[in-house]
Amino acid sequence: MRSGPPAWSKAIRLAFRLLAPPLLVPVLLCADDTGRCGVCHGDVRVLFEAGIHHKEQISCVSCHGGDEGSDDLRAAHGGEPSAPARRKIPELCASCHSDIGKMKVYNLPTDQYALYQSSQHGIMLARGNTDVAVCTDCHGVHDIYPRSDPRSSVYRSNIPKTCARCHSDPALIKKYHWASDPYREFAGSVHGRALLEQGDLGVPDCSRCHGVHGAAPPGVGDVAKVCGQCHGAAREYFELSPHRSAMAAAGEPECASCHSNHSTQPAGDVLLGTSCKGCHGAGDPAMKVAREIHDELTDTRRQVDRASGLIADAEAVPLNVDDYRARLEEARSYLTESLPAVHSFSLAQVRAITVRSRSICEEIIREVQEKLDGLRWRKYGLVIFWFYLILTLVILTRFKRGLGAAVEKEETGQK
Amino acid sequence: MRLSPAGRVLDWFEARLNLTELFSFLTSFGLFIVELDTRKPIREALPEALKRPIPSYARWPRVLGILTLLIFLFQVSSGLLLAFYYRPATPGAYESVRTIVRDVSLGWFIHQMHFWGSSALILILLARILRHYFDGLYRAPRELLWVLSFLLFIAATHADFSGRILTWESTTYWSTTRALELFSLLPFVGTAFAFLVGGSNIGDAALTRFYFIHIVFLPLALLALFYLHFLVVRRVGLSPAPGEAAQQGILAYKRYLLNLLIVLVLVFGLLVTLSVLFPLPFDKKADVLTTPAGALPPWYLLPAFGFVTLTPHFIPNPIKGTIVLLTLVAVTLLPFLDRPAAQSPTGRLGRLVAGLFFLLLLIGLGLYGYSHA
Amino acid sequence: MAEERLPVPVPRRGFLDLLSKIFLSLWGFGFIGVIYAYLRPQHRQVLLDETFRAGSLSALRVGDAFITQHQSGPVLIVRTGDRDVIAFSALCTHMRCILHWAGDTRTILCPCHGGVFDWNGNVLSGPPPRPLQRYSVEIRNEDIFVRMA
Repeated sequence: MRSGPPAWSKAIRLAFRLLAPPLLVPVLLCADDTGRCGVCHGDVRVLFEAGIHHKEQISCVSCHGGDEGSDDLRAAHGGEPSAPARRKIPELCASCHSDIGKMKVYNLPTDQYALYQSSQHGIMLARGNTDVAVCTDCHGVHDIYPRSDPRSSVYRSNIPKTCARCHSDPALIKKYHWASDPYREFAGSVHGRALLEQGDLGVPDCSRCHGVHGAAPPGVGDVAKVCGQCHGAAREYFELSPHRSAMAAAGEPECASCHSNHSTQPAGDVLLGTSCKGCHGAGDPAMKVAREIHDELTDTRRQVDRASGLIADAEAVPLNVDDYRARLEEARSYLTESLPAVHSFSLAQVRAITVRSRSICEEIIREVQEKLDGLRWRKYGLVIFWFYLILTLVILTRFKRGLGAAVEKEETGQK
Repeated sequence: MRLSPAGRVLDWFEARLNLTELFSFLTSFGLFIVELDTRKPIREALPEALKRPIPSYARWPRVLGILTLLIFLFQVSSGLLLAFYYRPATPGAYESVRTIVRDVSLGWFIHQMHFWGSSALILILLARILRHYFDGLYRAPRELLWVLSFLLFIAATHADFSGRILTWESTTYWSTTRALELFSLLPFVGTAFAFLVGGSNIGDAALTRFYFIHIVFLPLALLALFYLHFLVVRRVGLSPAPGEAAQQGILAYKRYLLNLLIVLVLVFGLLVTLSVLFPLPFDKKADVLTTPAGALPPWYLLPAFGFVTLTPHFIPNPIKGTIVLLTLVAVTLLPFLDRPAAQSPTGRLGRLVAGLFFLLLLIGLGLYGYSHA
Repeated sequence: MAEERLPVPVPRRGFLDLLSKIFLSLWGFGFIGVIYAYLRPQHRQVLLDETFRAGSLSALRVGDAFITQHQSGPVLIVRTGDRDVIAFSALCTHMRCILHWAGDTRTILCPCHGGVFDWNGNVLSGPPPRPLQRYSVEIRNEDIFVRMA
């Protein structure tokens, strides 16, 4: 962009150079630690002074070279083109960030440059490809904030957008024949919704699976390890299942084959019915197992829902069902515990857990239903009460009639 | 004459106390509207009074007055039973009510009867007022009867209102809060009420005060009003419908009492049925910080609520409140505002039309308030 | 009897009248029965039982824990010192699974998604978003009382 400044631009610079010294005297007196660079580069100065490097007394010349004390244009710029070349940027940042002596006080790791060089980004940059991400693409150029600052482009919940700047760029997708738009997929996934919509920082962003500076796609055998960092129970069951060896042999990425990679969906009962079809044919006995496990889980869930509905009914009456609330919590806990067991793909393993949940639910349903049925007695009592009441009315009217006759007789007798 | 043991005990007391006088005083609170001959011993005075002829028009509408007293006494006794378990404090009020309706045997029944009894009391008082109006009975010599009846109605609604908050459920809590917003619009009365309940927002202090007002202050006020009311009834006699006054007594007083018993049994049966088939649902505990949608003030406040919401916004709220208050005062003082000319047939027609119009207006405003809460 | 000579002289119906009066007196018995059933001291503790006895201090070694049931859910009791006992809700803050006490590592484990808490209820690893809910504990005469507030 700066390659060809128009002629009028040169004229202005010349005029500025002549007029500037007298005009700038007051400004220069106020110029502080950004040196005199900010006098011309005001917009950059504003960005830079908000960032962390300014606070740590890093100045413009640390990266750009030149002389910040000079108000001579040529001397100030040091005769160098002002922006460092893209290829040089990682090296430039590393000159401080890989220096143990400098980083020690900030407690920052110094191996990032080495990690970067091992990453796909770093390898391709070394080959001369400048499309890849360098430090500034993710961390920002002048306005660099620490990772823990929500304004930072590398704050946990901002990372997907930062990666998406390149990885969801249609031009780059086309150029490198990438299969999909990972950001859109991730945003619709269970992880994406939790991170981007609910701000839950416990769920993984891109870097949790792909690595940070050593960014690379996890290999086929590593998927279970990456996912298993959080989904430990699921991984344990999976390791024992027949899928473990079969998928390794077939070269399938373990978790992602069923759950997909970026558009991870919550492991619902639906997934169990649909995702098997990719490998198993309709007549395959494995499909029968899947269906049985699916039925087992939906049955258990239905039982838990029924028990919880009955308890809510009883509480609305209200009946005392506090003890059953605690038991229901137990049944629900077993149901949740049984979900990772699905990865063993053995009905017996799943049933070993769900059977506890179901037996608790059956007990709750039976006993709460009994309590609710007990309410019938209120209505029976009402019927008996009305029978008694009508008889009372009959007796009272009989008294009244007898009385009326008697009084009238008395009245006529007196006359 | 041989006497039964009970008769002898009665005689023993009779020799020391004037039982007839005592009975006469106690029954001044209603029930026994016939004068007793206090010179006679009670065993002679009572049967004589029971046989005394009273006007033949003393049929069932005339028992409503005593019925209200009996329902009031029923409310007092069921309320006493509830007080055995109730705790008037914010951590505890809801839990103690839940204990009553959930864990104590038949507690739900007592609670529901107390609730429906209160509505029945207000409705019967209202029915009496309407009858007195349409039969033109508020005029001399019954002006005081009208004023007392109306004050009884107001006191009964206050008793119901102050009782609602005590359960500290979500619905009743917010219903009361909405109603208090209305109260605060009334000039003088509103500030007096806010002063009494300890501020316009309802917390622990308000609960204790509501409790005191509900179980001591209003029952005493009601009892005093009932006493005055039945004193007046003894003086002016039962109220005849137009054209009935000429007929003279051929009925014994005992028959009147039997009529009362029959209506009482029917009303009691109705209350039991409502309590069993249409119990007031027991809601969640009130959360002071979140208002649920659609909280309605109690039904008897809906016309006033409808009026305040219906009238345009540029009318300042104190003026709306003044209009409501003036209407209440005007209704109380109706016997003194009514012209004697209303006795004529055209006057009667005018009264009928005016009454129906006012009634329909109240119902319309109430419906408006119900749909625009 | 004195009342017999009062009005209502209906001849030959004396027995029916007596029967009717007995029947009407059942109302009185009904009322008394209802009031008795209502006021009768209740068998179980029906009023607030926010504070409950979770166990005795002597049965729990320092650094050990156990889970006990309360009406509102399971409660985990950890003895951290001589007279120091902490109580938590034993429901995982992630998906409400019931937690286990791992005595060898002195951590609290969630069987469902591998959440790990330390014995102060803080999240060590895994998906739980919050530390465990704590209840206040009181020790009276070597007995542990937990207040469910």
